[in-house]
Amino acid sequence: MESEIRNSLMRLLGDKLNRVGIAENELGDRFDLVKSGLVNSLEFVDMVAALEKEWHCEIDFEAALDKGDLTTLGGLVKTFESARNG
Amino acid sequence: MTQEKTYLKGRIIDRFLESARRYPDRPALQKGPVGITYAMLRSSAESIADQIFQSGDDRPLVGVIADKSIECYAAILGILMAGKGYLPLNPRFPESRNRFMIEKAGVRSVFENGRRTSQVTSQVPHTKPDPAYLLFTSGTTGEPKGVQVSNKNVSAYLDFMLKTYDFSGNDRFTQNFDLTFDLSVHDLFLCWSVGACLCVPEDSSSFSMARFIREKQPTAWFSVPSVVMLMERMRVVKPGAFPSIRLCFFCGEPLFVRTVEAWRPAVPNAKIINLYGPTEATIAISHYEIPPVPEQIKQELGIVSIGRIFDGNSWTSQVTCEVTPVELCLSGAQIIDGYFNNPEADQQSFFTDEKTLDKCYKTGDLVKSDQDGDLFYLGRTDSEVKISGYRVNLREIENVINTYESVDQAVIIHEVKNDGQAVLHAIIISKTGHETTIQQIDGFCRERLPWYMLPGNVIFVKEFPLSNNGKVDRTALKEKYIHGK
Repeated sequence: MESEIRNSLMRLLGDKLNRVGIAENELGDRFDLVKSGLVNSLEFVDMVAALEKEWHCEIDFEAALDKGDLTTLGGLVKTFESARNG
Repeated sequence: MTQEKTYLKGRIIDRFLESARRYPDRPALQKGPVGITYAMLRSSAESIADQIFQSGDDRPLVGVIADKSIECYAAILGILMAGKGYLPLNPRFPESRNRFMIEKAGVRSVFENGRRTSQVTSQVPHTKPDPAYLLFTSGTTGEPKGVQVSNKNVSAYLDFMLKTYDFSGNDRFTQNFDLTFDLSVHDLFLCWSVGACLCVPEDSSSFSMARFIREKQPTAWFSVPSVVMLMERMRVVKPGAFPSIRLCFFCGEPLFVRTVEAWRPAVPNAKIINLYGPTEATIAISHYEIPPVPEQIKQELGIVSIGRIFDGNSWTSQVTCEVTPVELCLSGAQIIDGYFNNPEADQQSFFTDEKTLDKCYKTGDLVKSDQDGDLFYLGRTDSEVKISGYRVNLREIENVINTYESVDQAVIIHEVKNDGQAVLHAIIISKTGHETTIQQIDGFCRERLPWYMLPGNVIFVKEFPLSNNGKVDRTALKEKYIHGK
C-alpha cells in the first residue's frame, strides 16, 4: 500500500516537481515538502486533505507532527499507511 | 490595585527602558524553554548599543538579521538605544534582495547572533529624522520601496492602542509576525510598553500554532487571518480550545466573517478586533471590534468592516461627488513623511489636502463608508495584492521576469481560489527564436524574489489578447488561460 500512497502523493505534486525540475525518482524519503519550499503550509494541508479523501481516512495532524517527520515524503506516506491500518 | 498607566512620549525605546526600570525581574521574552527578564534583555541590548558606539558607525540605520533569536530582539533594542533605526533583513529572503536593502539604506553595520559585521555600501542616503525602522515593500518598478517610520509615528500608534485596549503587565503577547513585517512592531512594543511577556513561537511554521497557544497561554493574540484558516483546516480550532486569549487582533488581509465564526468558539473569553493599515500609516490605523452576535457584524461581501480611523488621524478621498467606492487617503500622526529617497514615489502617493493643508497618503485601497462612519475595504486601485499578509505588486514580479534573457514579456495574474488561497500565475511570451523553460523561470525568480512573490504556475503563450487601446487585456488573459474559457 505504501507505494500506492506514494503514487497518489506524486500525482498531487506533479506540476510542482516539474516546475522546479526535480524527477520523482530523485526524491528521497527525507525530502521535506514544506522546508524545501516545494509547497507552502496551506498547500500542504490541502494536499493532506486530498489524500484523506482519496484514501478514506483522517489523520490526527498534531499527533502526526509530534513524530517530527510529517512534512517529509517518507513521513507523510507512513502516516497515511498507519491511518489506513487503523 | 489599579495599575499605573503613564506612557512616555518620544522614542519607543524609552517605553522598554521604563518597563525594564520598573520590572527588572519580570519575563520580557520567552522562546521555547528559554526565558529572559527585562533586566537581562536590557543588558544584552546595552552591549549591542556599545558595539555601535565603539564602531564609530555614524549612519542613521543599522541592519539586523531578523531570525527571531533572542539576540535578534536584543539587537533591535540596542540599535534603538544607540539612537538609530533598525533595518530588518530576512534570512529567508534571497541574498540579492537583502543586499539591495543594505545598499539602499546605506548601512555600515549588520548584527547577527549579537555580533556586528561591517558592511561596505556606496550610497549615503538622505534619511529623514527620528528613524525607528526602515522596511521595504513591493514596488511597481521592479525594486522594493523603502518606508522609513519614525518614533513619532510609532508612538502615535502605541498611544492609541494603549488608550483604547486594556493591555496590562500580566499579558502574554504572541509574536507571530515576521520581523520584516511592520505588524511585528505591535507585538514587540505594545508588549514592552506595559511590562508584559513576549511569547515567540519556537517553530516558525504555522503548523504548531495550536500547541504554542496551549503551552504558552498567550492573552493577546495578533496574526493574519490566514493563520486561523490554516489551523481550521488542520481541525485544531475547537470550541473552548484557547481560553487564555482575551484580546485577539487580526490585520494584514481581509478578514472573512466565516473565519470569525470558526474562530470565536475557540476563544470564548476574547474580544476580536479587525485592524487595518498600510505600512505607510504605521502598523494599523483603523479598528473594528467585532460584536459577539454574528448577525450584528458589519460586513460587505462576507468581509468584515475595517471600522474607524484611529484618533489623531483622519481620512479623506480625492473624489468629491457621492460615489462609492473611493480611494482611501490618510493623514495624521501615523503617516510617514514620505518614501525613503524616492521622490518619484512620493509624488505618486502623497498630496496636500487643499482644505486642511495636511499631507495625505493615497493608500490605493478602495473603501466605502456607512452612516456610522465605519469603513469597508472593497479592493485596490492598482496591481497590488496581498499574499499571506505581504503586499505584493504584480508589476514588480513582471519586471523581474522581464529581465530574464529569453523572455519577451511576462504578465502576472493573481487568482484567489474559492478557499481563499492566492495563486500567482506567470504568463510568458519568449523572445522569437528562444525557448524558456518553467525551471529556468522558477530558478531565476527564487534568486531574486521572496517566497511569497514566487509564481505558483508558469504558462508559456505565443501572444497576449489586447484591449481596444492596445494594452494587454488582463481580464481576457485570465479567462483564457486560468479559467480555461
